[in-house]
Amino acid sequence: MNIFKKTINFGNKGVHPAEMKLTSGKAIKDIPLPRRVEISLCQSLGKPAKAVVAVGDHVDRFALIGEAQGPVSTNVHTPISGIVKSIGKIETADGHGAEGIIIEASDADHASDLQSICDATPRVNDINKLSREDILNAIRNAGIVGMGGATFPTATKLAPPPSSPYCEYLLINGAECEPYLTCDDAIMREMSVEIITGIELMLRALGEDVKCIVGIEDNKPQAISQMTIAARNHSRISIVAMRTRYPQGGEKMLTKALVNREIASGQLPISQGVIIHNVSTALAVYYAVVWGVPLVERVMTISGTDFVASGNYRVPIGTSVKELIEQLGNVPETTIKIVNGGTMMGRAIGGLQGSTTKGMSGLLMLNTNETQIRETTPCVRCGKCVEVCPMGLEPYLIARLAELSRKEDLKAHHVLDCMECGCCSYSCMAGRRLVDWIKVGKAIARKN
Amino acid sequence: MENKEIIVTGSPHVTSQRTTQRVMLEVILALIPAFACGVWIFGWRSLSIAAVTIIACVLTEYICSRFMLGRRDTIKDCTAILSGLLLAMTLPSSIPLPLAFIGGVFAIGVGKMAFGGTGQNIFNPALVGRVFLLISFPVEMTTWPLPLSPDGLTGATLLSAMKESGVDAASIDIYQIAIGKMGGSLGEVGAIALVAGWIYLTIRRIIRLIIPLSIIASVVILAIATSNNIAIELLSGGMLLGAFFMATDYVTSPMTTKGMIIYGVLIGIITFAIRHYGSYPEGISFAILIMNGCTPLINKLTRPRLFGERRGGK
Repeated sequence: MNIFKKTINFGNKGVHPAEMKLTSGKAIKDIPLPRRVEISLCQSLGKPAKAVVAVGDHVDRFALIGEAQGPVSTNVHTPISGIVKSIGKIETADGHGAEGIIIEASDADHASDLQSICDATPRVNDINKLSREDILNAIRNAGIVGMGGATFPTATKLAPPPSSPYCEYLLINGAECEPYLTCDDAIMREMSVEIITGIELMLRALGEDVKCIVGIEDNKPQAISQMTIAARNHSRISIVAMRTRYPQGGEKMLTKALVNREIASGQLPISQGVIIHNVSTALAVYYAVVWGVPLVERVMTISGTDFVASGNYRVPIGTSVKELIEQLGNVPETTIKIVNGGTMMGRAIGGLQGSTTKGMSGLLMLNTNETQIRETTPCVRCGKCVEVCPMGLEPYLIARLAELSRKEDLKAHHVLDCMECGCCSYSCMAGRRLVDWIKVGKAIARKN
Repeated sequence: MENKEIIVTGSPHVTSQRTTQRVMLEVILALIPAFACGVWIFGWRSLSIAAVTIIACVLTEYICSRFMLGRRDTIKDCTAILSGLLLAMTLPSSIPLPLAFIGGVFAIGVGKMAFGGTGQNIFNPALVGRVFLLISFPVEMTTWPLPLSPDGLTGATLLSAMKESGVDAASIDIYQIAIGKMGGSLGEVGAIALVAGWIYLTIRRIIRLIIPLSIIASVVILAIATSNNIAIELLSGGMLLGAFFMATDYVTSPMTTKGMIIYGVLIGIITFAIRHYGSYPEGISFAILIMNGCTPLINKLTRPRLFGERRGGK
């Protein structure tokens, strides 16, 4: 093991918040199939999917219920058998609401679903017989999107247009640099072989001489060793330990850390010859291609110091967040903030509402010690935000320009390059909410 | 449970433990050894000077922010206390207390609040106060009690002695200077204590190494080039106090590494030039103030490199 010999890292920028990986050693537990699901049709970056079922229809488990509308949209499937109760506006976890489908299972449906889980067998026994098209179609049909949170359709990313630069590297993101989240860690520990097979399938889809590097932060030693063992006989896949540093899981930072290339402003990773996918996505690819199972469940971290049942859970997509938490325990009395995602980039939500989605990696219940409501004092121009900004921006200045609504200056200071990683707000000693202002600044810069 | 207050804010949901108040308190802590040296060398009067300047600074800040700017006062962040302490440390121990008070009022009133308060000032408030006193009351500001002398003898500082009376650099005992046995202001005499404070701030990552090192490096290079005594250049006058605690003031120093180097090197050069070719024996106060004025321009010229942009622009 020469993991600690050289430090692989994206540079000296960024921050190292308390890791708070409370659930790092926890095994993945299954959440039982719910009797009722509310599935959003907006599961990807692009247009919502179009419902292909009607109210009153009976659908089987894994049936297609929403069809992708264009290359950045994605198919939606049902994790349970049942009757379509309604199609229309549903509540989402972030409180915004979206088009969605509600499905309810009868006792018979539920029993047959449980039986089908026991009877499941792989569809493909030899992946070497699969063609590129077979793999891409399986991924596209299964409705797989980037599960790190960006929810960009995976098949579209794996088939870049012929005009784009040649892809040299497939980078697999196992950084999981967000505090609290351990779902990627958990799947790498428990399902490394499946993930490696998923990667192998992605490599087959990409081309003969594409190499793969899996980047994992060194605070996950078990994941690193499991993945290394699983990748032993795969000459095209290498596992690399990176020095823990937030936001290493950002695609620009990951590319810098693993292949030392910088993706320029406004460019896609392919401009530097790389394509980036999350480990969870690789796992979903494995299930889609080998088992023919669409993306209807994912592993989520549900955590918080005071939440007794903190752990990693395999959750059917569309499960009500409220029911999910209630079957594990109660929201602790001390909770003052509920976060969908990690503490650096996750969204605070007003309460337990809506249902889980493909991009939802965690649900955190934070008490007063875990999340701070800081008083804002005047900026003392200490320069810390400039020092930590991984994009090389001047957050203090952008925030000020946003307060003044100076559109042209905001653009000149590259406000649109900010990825909202939160390093500036995190390290601001004056407690200024720089990211909030930068978001305002982005809106101003985009306005016509 | 459902009725309980759940807070919704933008991300991130965690922050570092560092607050402006804590940082300022730590800087004050780092200054205490050097100040204690001043008290040891010049007697208890040093304490009353510091008390007067701190009270003047805090009071001025309170009155200005409450009644003139009409906003919440910023006393709590402790920046005024720090400015007061720093100002006291640049004064001779024999200064009449009313003058110290006026210095404190000017430092905060004109040096800081006139620009809009904390974070808005262009010049280091403590140095604004000191230079104001130096120009307005030149006699009181250049009468330096001799170290450890109970009977109130006064004399020249090392730099003024060398400049005006032609004292030979070779006849000076460096060891005596290092432990503070020289004439000078309250805070500049305890070189070892100043270095200790600086190391503390650096280890705690409150200040970065760049500014102090660029100042010191440029002075050392100039001293070698002009065959002056390096130790005297560094240990005499306010060099260390200025380089460690004044030039590194957040508000008035540049933001980027490149900017900090330019700023530090120019402070070193200007200080050296004033000391050797100007009419004042000591120049670091002026040098820092001049470079404070240049800071906005330096910030503009040394913007950080955008990720993905080639070095040296697009």
